[in-house]
Amino acid sequence: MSEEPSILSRIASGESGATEACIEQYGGLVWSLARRFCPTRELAEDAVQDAFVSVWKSADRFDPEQGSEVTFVATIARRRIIDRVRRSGKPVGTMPVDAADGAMPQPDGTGVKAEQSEEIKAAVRALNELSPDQQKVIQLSVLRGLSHQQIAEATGMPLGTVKTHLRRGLIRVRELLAEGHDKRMGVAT
Amino acid sequence: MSSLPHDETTIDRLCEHAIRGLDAPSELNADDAALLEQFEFAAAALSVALSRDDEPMPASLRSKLSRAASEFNRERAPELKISGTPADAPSKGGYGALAALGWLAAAACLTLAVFAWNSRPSAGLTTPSLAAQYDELSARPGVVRASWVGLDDLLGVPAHAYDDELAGEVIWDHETQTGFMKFTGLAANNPDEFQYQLWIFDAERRVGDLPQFAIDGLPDLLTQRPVDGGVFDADNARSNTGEIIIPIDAKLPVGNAAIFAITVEPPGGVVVSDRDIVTAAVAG
Repeated sequence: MSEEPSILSRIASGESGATEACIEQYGGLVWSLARRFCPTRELAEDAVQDAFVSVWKSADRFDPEQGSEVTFVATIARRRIIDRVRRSGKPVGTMPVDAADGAMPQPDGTGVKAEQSEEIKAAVRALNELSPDQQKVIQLSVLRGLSHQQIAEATGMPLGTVKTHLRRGLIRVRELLAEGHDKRMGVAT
Repeated sequence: MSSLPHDETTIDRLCEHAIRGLDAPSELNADDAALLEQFEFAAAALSVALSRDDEPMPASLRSKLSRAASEFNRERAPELKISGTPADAPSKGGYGALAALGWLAAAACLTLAVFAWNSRPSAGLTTPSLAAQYDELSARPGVVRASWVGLDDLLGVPAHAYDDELAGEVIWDHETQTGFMKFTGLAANNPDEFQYQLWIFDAERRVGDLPQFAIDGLPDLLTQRPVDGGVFDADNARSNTGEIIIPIDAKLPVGNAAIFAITVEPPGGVVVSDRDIVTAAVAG
């Protein structure tokens, strides 16, 4: 764990430059998430603004001992982005803004931010343990927000298989995250 | 870590709520609420692991965020000592904390502050142009390249209403699984009315799933479920040259891209297309 204060703790303590640092550090990530969930570019831009305001307002809730800053930011950003799409009356889980981000990333870490947190490493590890079909379901679900039914239609997999793949994938990531958390806390496993 | 419920239906429901950002079901008990938070945290970690920020944030948005940051700092300064708990923050207990119930319940009541944006000029940030990215990919060895042709040329049927003087090409790099489409003459669309969507027919994928799309004299490839290559708009107004470049956003890995087809779809695109094809490009 870095001894430097995190960006979020700097925001919480009122350091004005920290909000800019936050945009600099996480702007690409939040924009990437918004583009994947929002059906229009305009909506994506609005959602990104909502997301950052929420992140700044939530900064004092961040506890580095409980998880990484990037995952904390991503958790809030996903909520705000999805909420923004829903409030617009447009369906959540449509295709992305404008095909502007290349191919579906592989779970080999190539899409991971330079500063990989333990949670992200755990997520990549979990993804690498999954079959290609399971990875496909996770990607369509997590990155696109597609429903079980939409994924079944897109992939031709039975609905029950889609649910099973998603359930197992999330449970595995959850287990790995918990292991990492317990290690940090010194809990015997 | 809270234990998993025994029934898979409950777990499936919590997974879907976590991933799709749905409000927590009102009847959730504390254990399930904590589990929901853990799944949401897992989904966020997966999002980061899979996300790519290879398209920079637009400079105009970056400027708006800077203004929002200034506004936030100004408004926040006198409140620092009395700030409350934002409703949509993960619980301070973080992963595995039963305190999740608090923020989950509060999330339903969240109201966002509305910021009045200032009209400060753009920060003037530069972003790599799509044209430069196109040229860079185009120069890679082994890149697949194919020209767009109208259905009138391909099948001898009347030209599509939106392919007036359409020209251009598609490039695709199997190694990096990235590609671009270049168009001139593709009719501008109103995204609230319809959008264009790219489909990639992969010679390595199964065929025959959609036999209704078989066409005499054309390969069986057309009967497969093609890979969704992304929804896009023909925003000709943003181009000085009349040429637009669109990055390809393939939702699944493509083994051997053989045919690229552009269809007209409802806003947001579709999962299975009725195939109102505007244009296509045949590789090789």
